[in-house]
Amino acid sequence: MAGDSSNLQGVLDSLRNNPGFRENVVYWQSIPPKKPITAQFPTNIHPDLIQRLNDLGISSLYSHQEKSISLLKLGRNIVLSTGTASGKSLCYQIPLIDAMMANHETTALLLFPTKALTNDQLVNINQIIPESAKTWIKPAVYDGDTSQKDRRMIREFSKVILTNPDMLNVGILPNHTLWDKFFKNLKFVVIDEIHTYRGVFGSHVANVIRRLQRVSHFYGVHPQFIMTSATIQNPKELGENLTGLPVEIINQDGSPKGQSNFLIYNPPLTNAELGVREGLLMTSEKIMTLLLFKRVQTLVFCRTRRFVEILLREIRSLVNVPANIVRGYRSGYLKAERREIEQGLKSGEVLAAVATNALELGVDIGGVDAVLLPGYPGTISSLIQRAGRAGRKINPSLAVFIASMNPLDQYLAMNPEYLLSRNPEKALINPDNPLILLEHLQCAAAELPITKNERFGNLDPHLLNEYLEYLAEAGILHKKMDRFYWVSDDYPSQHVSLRSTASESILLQSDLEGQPQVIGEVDYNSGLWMVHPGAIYIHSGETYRVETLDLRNNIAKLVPSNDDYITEPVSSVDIEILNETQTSDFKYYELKQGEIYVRSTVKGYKRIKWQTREVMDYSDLQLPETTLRSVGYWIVLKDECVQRMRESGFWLSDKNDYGADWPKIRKIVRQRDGYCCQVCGVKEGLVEHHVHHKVPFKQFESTEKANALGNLVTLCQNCHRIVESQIRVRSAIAGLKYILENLSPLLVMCDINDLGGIVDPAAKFAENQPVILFYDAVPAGIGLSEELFKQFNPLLNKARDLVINCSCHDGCPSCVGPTLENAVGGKQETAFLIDILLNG
Amino acid sequence: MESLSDRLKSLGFKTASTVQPPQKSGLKSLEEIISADVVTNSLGSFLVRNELFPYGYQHGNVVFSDSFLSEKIHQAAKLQRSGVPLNSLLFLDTETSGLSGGSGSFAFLIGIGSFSDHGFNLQQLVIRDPAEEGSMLLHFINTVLSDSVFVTFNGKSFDIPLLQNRLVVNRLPGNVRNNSHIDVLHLSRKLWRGHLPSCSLKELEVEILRTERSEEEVPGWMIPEIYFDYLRTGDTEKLSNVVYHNAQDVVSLAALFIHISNLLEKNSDLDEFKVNDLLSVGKIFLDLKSVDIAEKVFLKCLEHSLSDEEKITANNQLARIFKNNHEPQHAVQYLIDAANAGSYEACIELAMYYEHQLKDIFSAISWTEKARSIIENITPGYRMQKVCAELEKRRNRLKRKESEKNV
Repeated sequence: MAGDSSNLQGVLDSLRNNPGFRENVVYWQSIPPKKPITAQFPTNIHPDLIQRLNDLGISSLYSHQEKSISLLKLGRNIVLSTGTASGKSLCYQIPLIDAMMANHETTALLLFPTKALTNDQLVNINQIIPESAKTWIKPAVYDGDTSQKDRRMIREFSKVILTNPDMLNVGILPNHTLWDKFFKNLKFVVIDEIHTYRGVFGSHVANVIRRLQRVSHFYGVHPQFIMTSATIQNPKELGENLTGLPVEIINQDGSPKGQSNFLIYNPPLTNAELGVREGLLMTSEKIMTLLLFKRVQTLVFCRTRRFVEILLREIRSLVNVPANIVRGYRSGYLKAERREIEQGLKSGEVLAAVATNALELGVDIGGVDAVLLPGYPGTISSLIQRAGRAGRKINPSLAVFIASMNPLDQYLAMNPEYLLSRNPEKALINPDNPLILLEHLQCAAAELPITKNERFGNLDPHLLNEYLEYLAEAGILHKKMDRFYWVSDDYPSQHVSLRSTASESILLQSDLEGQPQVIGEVDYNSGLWMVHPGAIYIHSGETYRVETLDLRNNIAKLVPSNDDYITEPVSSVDIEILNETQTSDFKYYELKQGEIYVRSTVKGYKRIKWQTREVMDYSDLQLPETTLRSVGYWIVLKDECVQRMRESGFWLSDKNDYGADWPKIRKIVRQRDGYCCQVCGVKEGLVEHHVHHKVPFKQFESTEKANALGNLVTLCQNCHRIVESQIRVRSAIAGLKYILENLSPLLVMCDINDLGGIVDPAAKFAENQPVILFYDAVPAGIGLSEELFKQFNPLLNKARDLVINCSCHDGCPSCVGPTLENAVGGKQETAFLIDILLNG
Repeated sequence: MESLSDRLKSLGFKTASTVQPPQKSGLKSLEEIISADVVTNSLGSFLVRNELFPYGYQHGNVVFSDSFLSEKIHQAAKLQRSGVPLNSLLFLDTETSGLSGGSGSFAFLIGIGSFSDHGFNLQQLVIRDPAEEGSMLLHFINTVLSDSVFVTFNGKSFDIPLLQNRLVVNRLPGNVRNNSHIDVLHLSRKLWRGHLPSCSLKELEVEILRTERSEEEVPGWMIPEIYFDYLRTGDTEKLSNVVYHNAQDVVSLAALFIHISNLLEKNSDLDEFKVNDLLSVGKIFLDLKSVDIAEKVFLKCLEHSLSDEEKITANNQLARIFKNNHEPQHAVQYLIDAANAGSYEACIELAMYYEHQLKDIFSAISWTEKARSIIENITPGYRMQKVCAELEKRRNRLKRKESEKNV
C-alpha cells in the first residue's frame, strides 16, 4: 500500500529544509486546506434519486453542484469550470436523471472527446440511477464500436446516449429519422471537456452542434446545453461560441481541498553561456526517487511515450521496488492493463505511474499524493489539470513542474506569478471558417432541406444565403423557390474529417512487424514541411525519419528513428496582402491585421542537434509550391525605429578577441582589396579601413576558421557601421519573431505549428521595411491572429520579461532562439528593439 | 468586391462540378414524354402514370392471371397473417437520388403494382422537382392501407426504410415499416442461391423468367445522375428510360412472385419441374416444416439424371429427413449415395452412425478416411483446416478404440 499523508508531509518538510533542492525551486505556492461549501438538495428532486444518492454516501451537494441544478431548472445553459475531481459529473447527472424520473420519455445526449471517457462515464451514470428507474433509462454507449445488432435497440430504448462528436457527425445526424423518438424528447445535451474543442477541431464541432440544433428544432425541441471545461481563460465565451447560445458560467468550486503545494523547479545550469540546463530525465529521476523512497504515491506526466519508457526503466533500476507497483501508462497498452493500473492507483496498490496524456482526460483514478510534470505540457490549462491530479480527498498534495530549456518553460519558471494569476490561455474557434462551414452546410442540407434565411447557429443569415446560392450554382444543392435540396448520391459527413480543413492529405506509413501500416495523416499543405524527405517527424511521442515522400499517391514512408537531431525546413515564403482589416499606428511601428496569401516552397532543411540546437548541416529539396490563404497580423518597423537602432552604439562596446595574428590578417585583406571599401569604393585615407567578418566571428568554433580570408572583406568605417547595423536589425527582428512565436501559446490555446511566421528585413509588401508576420496555418484562419493582434502589447511585455531575465550570455534556445546564421546572438538587440516598441 | 466563389477558390475549395450545363429550352414536358397526368393535392402536385397489364399478359415464361394461389408463398415469407387477398398486395419499387444511405436520399419515382379486376395495374408516381416530394408521399400513404402487404425486391432493407425516412422528413404521419412485407429477394435467395451466380433481379429475369429488356433500359447505378441531370437541364429523354426501367422492375417483381407461388403450390405436378427448381422448392418445404412434401420433392429429384453436386444435395436432404424422423437405418442408403458422389459431410455422418449406432469401428474408420481423401481434393480454407483437425481427432479416437478392442 502507498503511504499515508504523513509520508508526504515528511517529504515536504525535508524538501523545505534541503538547500540543494530549494535553490532550484523558483516558486513554491502553498495553499492552505479549504473547507467544503455545501448546499442542500433542491426541494423538487425526485425522492428516489435522493435516496439513491444517500445510499452512495452523498447527503448534501457542493455549492457549484447545487447552482448547476438550479440554473438548469430555470432553463439556462451552463458551462462548469471547476477543479479536477470537484464532482462535475453529478452536476449534469442529477438534473438528467431527475428529468427522466419526472417524464419517462425524456432523453439526453452526452458527448465526450474520447471513447475511453465514454465508457468510464457509462459506469458512472449507471451508478446513480435509482433501482426503480433502471428499466427505462438504460444509458448506452453509441459509437463506432457499437454492433449493428445493438444499435437498433439503443435507438429504440435508451434514454441516455453517450457518444462522441465524430459519431454524431457521421452516424447519428445523417440518420436522424431513425432517431425521431429520441430527438422529439431531447431535453439535455452534455458536452464534456469543451476545452478540447478548439482550433480546427472545435470549429468543426461547433458546426456539428449547429446541425444538432437544427435537427432538434425540426423535431420541435430546443435542448439545454450543459458543458464542462478545464481551466481556460474564456470557458463562457467558448461555450457560447460552440452552441451559439447564451451560457452561464459556474466556476466557484465548493469542493474541499487539502493543503496543496505547487512547485516550479528549474534545473541548474550546466553551461551558463549556452543556457544549457540539467536534463528533464535526470531531474525527474532524482525527485521521483526521493518520493518513492518515502512511499509517496506519485504520478508522472511525460510528454512522449519514449520518455515514459526510459524514465520507467531508470526508476526501476534506481529504486528497489517490485515492477508491479511502479507502472507505465500510455496509449499502446492494452485496455485491461490500463484498467488494472487505474484500479491500482485508486486502491493504493500501485505506488507510482509514469504516464502520457492518455491518463489526463477524466480517466477516473481518484487523486494521488504527488504529481511530477517534466516539461510544459503545451497549455497552462493542461498543466493545471494535470497538477490537479495531486490531492486525495483532503490530504496534503504536491505538484512539481520541472522546466525544460524551451522558451515557454523558461518564461514560466521566471514568471511564476503568471500561473498564479489564473489567467490561462483562450480557447479559440471559428465556426464561420468558410471551408469548414461549407462542408457542414452540405451535411445539413442532406439532413434536411435548408430554407433561405433559416437559422444555422448564430451564422449571419445573409452569409448563409450567400453560401446556399454558391452551393446551388455549383450544382451541389438544388434550389426551388426559397428552399435548397441535397441532390447528390453521396453521404457528405463521411468526407468531413473533424480534425482538418484540407480534403487532401498525406498518409503516414510505417512498417509495423514487417507490414506497412498507416499511423496517421497530415494535411497536404503542412505535409510538405512536416514530412519532407529526411524530416524527423514526431508522432504520438515516437520519433520517425521520413524516408520517402510520394506526392503522386500522397504517402510518406516513415522509419522509427533514434537520431539525436531534429530537422527544420528552410522555405522561401512569398507573402501577398489581400486586404488590411485593421491597423494600429505607433511611433516606431505599425501593427496590422488582414487577409494574406502565402506562397511557400520548402527549399531544403537543416539538421539541428537536439540538445544544443547546433546546426549540423543543410540539404536541398525539390518540392512543389504550396499556397495558403489565411488571416495574419504583422509588425512593420518604421524608419524611425531602424534609425534608433542604428544610432544606438551600445553593441560596439562588445569587442571580440580576434587572435594574435589579427593585425597581420587585416593587412593582407586590405592589401588584397586595394585599400578600397568594397561597398562604396572609397580609398583608405589617414584612418585605416575596417576588415569585416561576413559570417560573424562568434559563429565559428575556431579563430582560424573565422579569420579565413574568404570570410573577410575591407569596408570603410561608415559602410561597416551600416553593414553591422543591418545584421543587428536582422538579429533583433529574428530574435523577436522567435520569442513571439514561442510565447503565443501562452495567450491562445494552440500548438506552435498552428501559427506560421516569417521575418523579412525588407518586405516588399511593406515598402521594404523590416517586418515580422504571423498567420494562422489553416485556410481562412481560426482566429489566432485576430486574438494575438488584440493582445500584442501583453505579448510584447512577456517577450521582454523573458529576454531580460534569461541567464544566458548572448541568446539561447530558451529566449531569442539558437544562434542565428549570418547574425549575432541577438539577445541585446532583441531586448533593445522590444524596449523601443514598448516604450518608444 | 470579391465573390464568395472566388474567395472559396483561393482558399483551396474544390467543387465537383462548377460548370453548369445550360437549361435546354423548347423541350417537351416530362408529363408529355411519359404520358402522365398531373395530380394535385393539398401539398402540391406531381405526376402519375398508369399502365394496365391485362390478365393473359405474358412476361417471359410467366402468364399474368388472378387465379393463382399464394398462401404458400405467404408462409414461406413468414407473413403473420393468412388468407391475404390478392388485391391487398402492393408491388413496390422506387427510384432514388442515391444509394449512399442517410436521410438525404429521396425517392423521385415510386412504382406501385396491384391486381385489380382488369389485370395488373401499374401506377408510377414521379416528381418533377424535389419540392414535389411531399405531395407525392401524401398520395403514396393514402394508397397504402393498414392491411396492405408490400411485395418488393430488397425492399426490407432499402425501399421501405428510405420511404419511412422521407415521411419523417416531410412530417407526414404513418409508419410503412409496420405493414406486412414479402421480400422476394429473400425468397429468391432461398430458392436459387447456389444454382445461380447471383440473385439479382437482372439475373433472375434471364435465368428464371426468360425475359429481356429493350434498348430503353438504363443500368441502375446511372439513375441518380440521370435525375440530377434532368433537374439541371430539364432534359427528359433519359428520365423516360428510368420510367421504363422502373416499370420493368415492378412487372418482373410480380412475375417472379407468380412464378414462385406456382412452384410452391403446384407440388402435385412435380413432373413439370426442372431439377434446380425441385431442389430449391424442397428446401423451402423443409423450412415450412412440410416434411412430407419435401421428401416427395427430393425423391422426385432422384428420378432425374443428376450432377454429383445435385446428387449430394438431394441425398443429404433425404438423409436428414429420415434422421430427424428417427429412422437412421433409412438414412444410410442416401448417405452412401451422397458420399459416393463426393460429400465429405455424408462420410462424417456415416462414420458417426457406424461408430455409435452399430459399434462398427472398422467401417467408421474407413468412412473417416474417405472423408479425408475427399477433403484433400478441395481447395484448402480455414473451414477445411478445422474439419481436417476434427477428422484427425476422430481417426485417432477410432484407432485407439480399435486397438483397445484388439487387446
